[in-house]
Amino acid sequence: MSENDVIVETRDLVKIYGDGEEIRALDGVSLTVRRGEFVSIMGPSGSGKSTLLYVLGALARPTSGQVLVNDQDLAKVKNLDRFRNETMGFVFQLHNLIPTMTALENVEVPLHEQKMSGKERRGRARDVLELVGLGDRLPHLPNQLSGGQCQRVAVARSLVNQPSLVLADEPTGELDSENSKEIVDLMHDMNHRLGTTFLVVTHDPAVARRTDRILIMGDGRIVREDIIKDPYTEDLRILKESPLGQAVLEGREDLVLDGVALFHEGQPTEAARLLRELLQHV
Amino acid sequence: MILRNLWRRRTRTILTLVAVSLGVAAIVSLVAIGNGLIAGYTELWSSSGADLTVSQADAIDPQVSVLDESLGEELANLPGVDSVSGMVYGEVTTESVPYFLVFGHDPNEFSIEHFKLIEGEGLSSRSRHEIIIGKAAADSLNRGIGDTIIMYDSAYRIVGIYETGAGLEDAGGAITLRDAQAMLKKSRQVNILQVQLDQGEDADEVRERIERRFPDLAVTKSGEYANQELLIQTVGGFAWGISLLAILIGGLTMMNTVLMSIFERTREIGLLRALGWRRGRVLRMILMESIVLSVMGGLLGAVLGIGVVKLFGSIPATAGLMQGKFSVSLFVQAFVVAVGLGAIGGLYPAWRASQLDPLLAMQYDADRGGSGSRRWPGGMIVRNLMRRRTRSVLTLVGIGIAIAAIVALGGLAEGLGEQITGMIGGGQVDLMAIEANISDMQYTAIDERVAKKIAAMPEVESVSGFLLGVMATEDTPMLILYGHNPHGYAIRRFRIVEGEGLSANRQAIMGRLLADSLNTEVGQTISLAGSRYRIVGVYETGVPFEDIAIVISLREAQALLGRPRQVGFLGIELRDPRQADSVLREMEERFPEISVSKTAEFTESVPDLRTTDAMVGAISFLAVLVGGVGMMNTVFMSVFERTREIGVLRALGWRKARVLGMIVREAILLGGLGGLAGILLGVGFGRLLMTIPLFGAMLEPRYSPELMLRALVLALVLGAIASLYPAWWASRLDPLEALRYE
Repeated sequence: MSENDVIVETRDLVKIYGDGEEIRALDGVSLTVRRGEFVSIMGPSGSGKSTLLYVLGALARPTSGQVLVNDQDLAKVKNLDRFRNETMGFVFQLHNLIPTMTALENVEVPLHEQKMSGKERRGRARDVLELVGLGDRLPHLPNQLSGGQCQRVAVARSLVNQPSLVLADEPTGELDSENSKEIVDLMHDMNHRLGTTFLVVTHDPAVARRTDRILIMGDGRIVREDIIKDPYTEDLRILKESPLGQAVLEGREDLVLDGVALFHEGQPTEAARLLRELLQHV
Repeated sequence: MILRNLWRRRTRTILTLVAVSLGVAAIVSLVAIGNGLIAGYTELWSSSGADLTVSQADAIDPQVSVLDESLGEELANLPGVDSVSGMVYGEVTTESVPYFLVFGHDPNEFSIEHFKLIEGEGLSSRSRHEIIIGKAAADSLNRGIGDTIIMYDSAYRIVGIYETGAGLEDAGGAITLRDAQAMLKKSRQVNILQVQLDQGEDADEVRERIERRFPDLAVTKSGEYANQELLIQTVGGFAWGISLLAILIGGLTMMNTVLMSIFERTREIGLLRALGWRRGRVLRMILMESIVLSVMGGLLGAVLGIGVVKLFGSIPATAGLMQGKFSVSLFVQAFVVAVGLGAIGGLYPAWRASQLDPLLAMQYDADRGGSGSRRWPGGMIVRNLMRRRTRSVLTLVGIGIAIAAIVALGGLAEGLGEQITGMIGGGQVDLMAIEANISDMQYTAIDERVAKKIAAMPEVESVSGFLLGVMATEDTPMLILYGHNPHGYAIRRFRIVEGEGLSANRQAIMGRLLADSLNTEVGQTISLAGSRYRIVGVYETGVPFEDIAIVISLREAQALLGRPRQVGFLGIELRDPRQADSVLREMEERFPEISVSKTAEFTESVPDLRTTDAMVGAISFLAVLVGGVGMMNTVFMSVFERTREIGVLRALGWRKARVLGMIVREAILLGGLGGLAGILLGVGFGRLLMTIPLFGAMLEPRYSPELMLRALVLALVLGAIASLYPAWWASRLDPLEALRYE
C-alpha cells in the first residue's frame, strides 16, 4: 500500500468542549482511511462519533492532534471553506435541503464557489441527480419529495463537486428501513462506481454491516475495529445463526455455498438480492 | 413568562422597541414642539402687561395684520384707555438662523418694559441699529454684548440681553419700532396695538367700544390672539399627521414581530392547548406580550422624544421656534397610542394563535410551514419571500407607507413649486424677482420704483408686478388674494369666463373654483378686512393657486395689505431671452434688495419652498427611519429562521460573501417591491387629498420621474442598508453551530 492510498490520517486527536466542565469528546483518536474505502463509525450517543466526523470535515478544529486529508494538514490549510468545497461532500441526518430551492438548485449549491458557468453547473447537477435516479424530479421543491427522495438529493449534493471524501452523519437516521436500504445501496453504488471514499456515522447495524470496516467508538476513543471482508459472507453468517434463516435456507445449500458467487463484476447477483430480502425479515 | 418570551428573541424585541419608540417619540416631540409654539404665541400677548390686543380683522396671523400707526393715538383718546403701544414683528433670516423673531417696540411705550435686562443696557429713542436679544438667543447664537447680528443686509449691534419668560421672545431679539418698520418695510404701520386700560375699567366694555367704533379691527383680551384657533388647528393637525405616519409604520412592525413569534412557537402553542389551555388564555398571553412590548416602546419613545425636543431647543437654527412644551396630557396621549398600537398589532396574531388546532400545531414543522409548495418563478429569493407571505406583505406595506409619504409629499411640494412659477409668469416671463433675504414668501415687498427702474433697462421688454396676500373671511378660513394692475398685461392671464374684468374701484374678480365652492355669483359682494367688494367677473387660469383666489386692483390690495407702493413679485420679460444670465447678474448688482432668478430656477429661491423641502426631507427621514427599522427586523427574523440552512450552505463551502449577498439581494428585492407599492400608494394618497373641496385644488401634486426614481432608489438603499447587519451576522455564523441550531 503506497502512501498515496491513504486519504485520511489522524494522530492523537483530542477535542475538548466547554470552559468550566470539560467534556473530552475526542480523547486520542488515531485512524487511517484508505482511498475508496467505505467506513462506518458506530457507538453510543456522546461517544464522539459526530465530533470525529466534523473534525475530519474541517467544520471543527481539534484541541490537539493532527488531521491529514489528502496528505494536507488541516491546521495548515489557509482557506478551509475552499478546501472543504473542493475535497469533501456532506450528507446530514435530516436531509437539510434548502426548502426554498428545487432539487436541482440544492444540488448546485456546492458548485457556486467553483469557477464554472451556470449552464455547466446545472448540467453537472442534472447528471448527478440522474445518477441517483431522480432525473425526473429536478424542478421539485423538497416538500414535494418523499423523505427517501430528499436524502437521495442530499447524496447527489454531496457528490456533485466530485469530492474524494464524503462524510455522512446518520444519513438513514430519519428514514424507514426500506428507504434506508435504498440510500445505503446508493452510497455503495457510488462507492463502487466513482471510487469515492465514504465515512458514515450510523446507529444502524444493518448499515454498518455493509461497510468495509466498522469503527466502534466509546468515550472519545476507538474501542473496536471490525473489518468486514465481504458483507454478504457476513450476512450469511448472521443468517445461518438465526432460527428463521436456518429454516429458510434449508435445502438451498447450492445458493449459499460460496459468498464470492454472490457477486458478479462488482454487482450483486440474483442470489445476493434474495439474500438481502431475507435479511429484512430476520 | 411574557418577559422571558420577549427576552428569548432579544434582537427582534429590541428592533420592535426601536420602531415603536420612534413612533411615540415622533408624537411626543412634534406635538410638544407644536404646543410650545402655540404656548409661545399665547405668552407673547400676555407677557407684555397689556389688557387688550388689537389687530386687523380677518388677518389669519398677527404677522400679516396691518394697522396704521396713527390708530394708536385714536385708541389712546378713547375713554377707559390708559396707554397704547404699537408693535411690529417678523421672522428674519440671519447668518445661521432661518427664522429669527424680531420685535419692534417703541422704547418710550409700556410694551418694552417687560423686556427685563439681565446684562448691558436697553434701547432708547436714540438707538439706531441696536438690538437687545433674549437670553436663549444669546446662548444659542453664542453672541454677547458688542457683537453684531446681520438682518436684511444691515448689522445690528447687541447692546443688551434680556429675559421676559416668554419662550419666543427669549429666543429672539428686540429693536426700536422705527428700525423694525424700516427693516420690514412697514413704514408708519404696526402689526398689532397693545392697550393698557385705566385702573378698574372693564376690559369687555372697552373692547366692545373699540369694535363698535372700528369695524375693521379685531380686539381680544390679552392672552390670546383673535384667530388663534386656526393656528392651533394647523400646527396641531400637522404634528399629529406626521406622528400618525410614524405610528402606522411602527404598528406594522409590531404586528410583524408578534406574528413571527407565534409562527415560531406554533408547536409550543399547540402543546399548551393540548395541555388544556383555553383559547382565551392563549389570546391573552400573546396580547400581553405585544402590550408589554408597546409599553416599553412607549417609555423609550417618550424619553427619546424629550431628547429630540431638547436637541432642537439648543440648536441655534431651530431654537427660536422650537421650544417644546410638555404636558401630562401629551404623555398620556402618547402612551395611549402606544398601548393601542400594541393591542391592535397583537390582536390579529393573538387571534390566529388562539385559532390553531392543537394537534396540527404540534406537528407543525417550521421548514415545511408557510407556503413553499408552489414553485414561484424567480428562484430562491422570491421563494424565500413567499415562504412567509404575511411577514413579507407586512414589511412591504411598512416600506410602502414610508415611500408613499415621500412620494405624496414630494409630489405636493413639486406641484406647489410649479404653481408658484405658473402664478408669476404663466410661462411668459424670463426672469422672476422677490425681495431678497426674506424668511417667508408672504413678507416679500419690492418698491414699485425698483420695478420702474428695471422696466427702464434696455434689455427688458416689460415688467409686471403683483401682490399676494392671505386673509380670513367669514366664509373661508384662508382666502388667497391677488392685487394686479387692471391695465397691465399680467392680468390678461385671468381669462374672464363670466361677467367682466376689473374696471373700477371696489371690484373683484373671483376664480372659478372659489366661486363654485363659495356658491358666489357675479353681482354679489364679498367683505375683506371690513371693506366690501363687488364680484364683477369669474375667471379661469388653469393654475389652481389662482383659481381658488380672488383678484382686486393692485392699488386696493396695497391698501388692504398695508403695502403702499409695493409689490410682492415681479415677472420680467426680456427682449432677448438668451441674455437672461447677464441681465440677471446686472440686476442683482444694481438692486441688492431683490433676488432675481431665471423662471426655471425660481422655485429654488423661494424661501417657503426651501422650508417645505426641508420639511418634506425631515418627514421622509422619519418615515424611512421607522420603515428601515421594520425592514431590518424582518430580515433578521428571516435570517434567524434560516440559521440551519445557512449552516448547511456554509458547510458545503459557500463563502461568507455569498451568504451575505444572498440575504442583501433578498432585502433589496423586498425594498424594491415596497418602493413600487409605495409609489402607487403615494400617488393614490395625493389623489385622495385633491378631493378635499377647495384646498384640494391648491394641492395639485406633480410627480416627476426624478421623484419616482428617488423614491425607488431610496427603497432599494433602505433594503440594502437594513439587511447589512443581519446579513453580516448570518455570514459570521459558525457552520457547525448553525447546523445544530434548533
